[in-house]
Amino acid sequence: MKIYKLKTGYTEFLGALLQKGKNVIAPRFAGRTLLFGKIDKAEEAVLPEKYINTVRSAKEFMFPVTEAVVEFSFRNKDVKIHDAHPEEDEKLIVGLRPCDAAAFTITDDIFNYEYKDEFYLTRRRNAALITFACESIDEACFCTSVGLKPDSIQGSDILFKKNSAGTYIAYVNSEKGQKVIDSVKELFEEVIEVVEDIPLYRDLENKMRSPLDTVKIKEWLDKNFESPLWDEYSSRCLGCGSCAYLCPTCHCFDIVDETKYSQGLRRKNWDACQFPLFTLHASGHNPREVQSKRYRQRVMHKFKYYSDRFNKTLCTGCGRCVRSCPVNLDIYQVVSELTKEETA
Amino acid sequence: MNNIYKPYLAKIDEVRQETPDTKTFRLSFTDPEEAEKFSFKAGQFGEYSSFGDGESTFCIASSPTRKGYIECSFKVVGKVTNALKNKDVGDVIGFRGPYGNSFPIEDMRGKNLIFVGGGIGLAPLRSLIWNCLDLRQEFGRITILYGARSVSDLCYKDELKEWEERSDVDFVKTVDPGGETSDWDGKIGFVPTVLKELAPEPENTVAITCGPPIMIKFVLANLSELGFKPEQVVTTLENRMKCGLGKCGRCNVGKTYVCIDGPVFTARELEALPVDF
Ligand SMILES: Cc1cc2nc3c(=O)[nH]c(=O)nc-3n(C[C@H](O)[C@H](O)[C@H](O)COP(=O)(O)OP(=O)(O)OC[C@H]3O[C@@H](n4cnc5c(N)ncnc54)[C@H](O)[C@@H]3O)c2cc1C
Ligand code: SF4
Ligand code: SF4
Ligand code: FES
Repeated sequence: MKIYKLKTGYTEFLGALLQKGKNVIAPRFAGRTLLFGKIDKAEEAVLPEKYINTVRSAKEFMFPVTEAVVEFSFRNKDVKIHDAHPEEDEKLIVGLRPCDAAAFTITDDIFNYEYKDEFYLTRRRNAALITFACESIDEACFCTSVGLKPDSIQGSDILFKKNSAGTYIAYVNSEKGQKVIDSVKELFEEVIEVVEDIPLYRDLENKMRSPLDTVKIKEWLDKNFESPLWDEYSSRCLGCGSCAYLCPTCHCFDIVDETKYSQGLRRKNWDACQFPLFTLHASGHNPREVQSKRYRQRVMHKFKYYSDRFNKTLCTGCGRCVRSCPVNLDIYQVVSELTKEETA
Repeated sequence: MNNIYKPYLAKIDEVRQETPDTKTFRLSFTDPEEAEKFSFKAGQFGEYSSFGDGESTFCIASSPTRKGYIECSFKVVGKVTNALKNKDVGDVIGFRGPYGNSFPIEDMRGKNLIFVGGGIGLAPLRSLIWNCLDLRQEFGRITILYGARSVSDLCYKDELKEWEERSDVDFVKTVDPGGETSDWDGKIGFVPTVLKELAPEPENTVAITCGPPIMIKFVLANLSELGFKPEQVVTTLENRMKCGLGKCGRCNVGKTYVCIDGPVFTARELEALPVDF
């Protein structure tokens, strides 16, 4: 891994990338909401020290909210279908946090096993993830509970951290990352000496909510599918789905046709297991007919099922579901309290 | 690009009205190259589309031993099935598949088979039944128990007659009490009850069952009472599906994806799943 010192600030770095004609996606305000979006001027991007995280995660750049997968037309008995193509342009996603970068290494497993979802995988191949270590956290963050840290490099092509002088140090983690550095080489200087470990990141790590014991959580979940606590802890849940939509690792979707006259598109749209229709059979039978079963599915999928199948926890502790839940259902708190109960 | 969501185009060559609300399509792929390459196993399913309306999951109801076409039978219940209902011979629909695992036909060789079907649940069994009958000498005794709510709800009526007349098949048909007609010559009673009366020997036998969830539940219980071990009982699970590819998350039961790990499970495998289907 090569390490570089950035000779300028964040804005100049983005400016240089834009000048080289790069397609840059960075956190910027859309109204009052901080979201990832394509920027045309470096000044549009919000400085990494000014935010904890974006409202929606970066997942939509691999797995869009809605996308066509097939195009078709029909006129009487004459039906034609075509592939819809994911955009193939290269993207630099800049200013994301370690939890969002790590999320892709988790969802890669689902889109890349057995049947390959080229819509996700094409975008994934064409995107470089340029992460900035966290400089502040809030009470919703819990990445240390799921094996991450405010300065984790997992999933990043480049990770930027500050040294105590406030200079950005770039840790290059892949060939893709190296290419980005090479494209604006004039801004960087290679660092040979050992880089100091910045107390800021360790401080944040220590300030974070005390680590969850994911092994113990899983053991409890293994035994407590039928626990009455599910009703108790989820009784407030409205089934609004915000948690799933904002989550960087949630990946469920629907497939829906849209038509206008004799032309149409078949689309993949985000969906959520928190909605009652998600599992409703045409017969009227619904295996998860009440919200407590749907909430249980969410927690089980994150902390048990995904690790049973892919050996990974389906959560990066980004805290979005905690911040956004209209009834303050806090997944960290729920799993810590559930596992305290000796009902096993 | 290899687009896993893109269906083949398939032409409807034949339409049969099985019951007042169930139809069978015989389909052939419009692209001869695709038709040539295509193969499947009994128990697998597909995503069938009416373009503009969406996709629906049905098993492949014909036998892999009968080449050049596939058949599906569907009950009209909602949006897509209502759209398909109005299609006719010559119309073109979409098909993705074959998906899922299949019946363990290799393990059934040399054994007695008892098929227990209810309603439209006969569709996947029919694929396996014809598969086995086309290789008749490879299996022991073959018993088929089939029931529906009423006489008019019985699917594949011509084939039922054929099985009834064959000397190498024991065929029993039944309808729910109240569903009989004056000329009904089968049994009257629920499938699980008739199964118990029939009392098949578990020795060297595999039971394969498919039907509405409530029927399957009682059939499994009764087979167990008759001495069948959970390894000897095979069934198919139904969960709402969209992708059929283990991606969309809809058919999850625990870590299992019914669409790629199933839809065929032994009763032993079902015991290990959370009750979430
Ligand atoms: C493996 C498998 C094999 C099946 N085989 C057959 C068969 O051979 N014949 C048959 O008649 N039915 C079969 N079904 C059930 C069939 O898929 C549904 O009845 C059908 O999808 C309803 O579609 P709809 O659009 O008309 O209903 P709607 O109620 O309008 O359905 C809305 C959506 O829900 C989905 N959906 C609803 N119920 C089910 C369900 N039980 N299973 C899967 N998806 C569902 C549909 O894909 C549809 O997109 C099978 C289901 C599975 C899982
Ligand atoms: S955001 Fe909160 S209320 Fe909404 S579905 Fe998730 S847990 Fe339930
Ligand atoms: S479950 Fe909540 S905390 Fe975990 S990754 Fe998803 S949104 Fe973030
Ligand atoms: S149907 Fe999509 S995961 Fe099984």
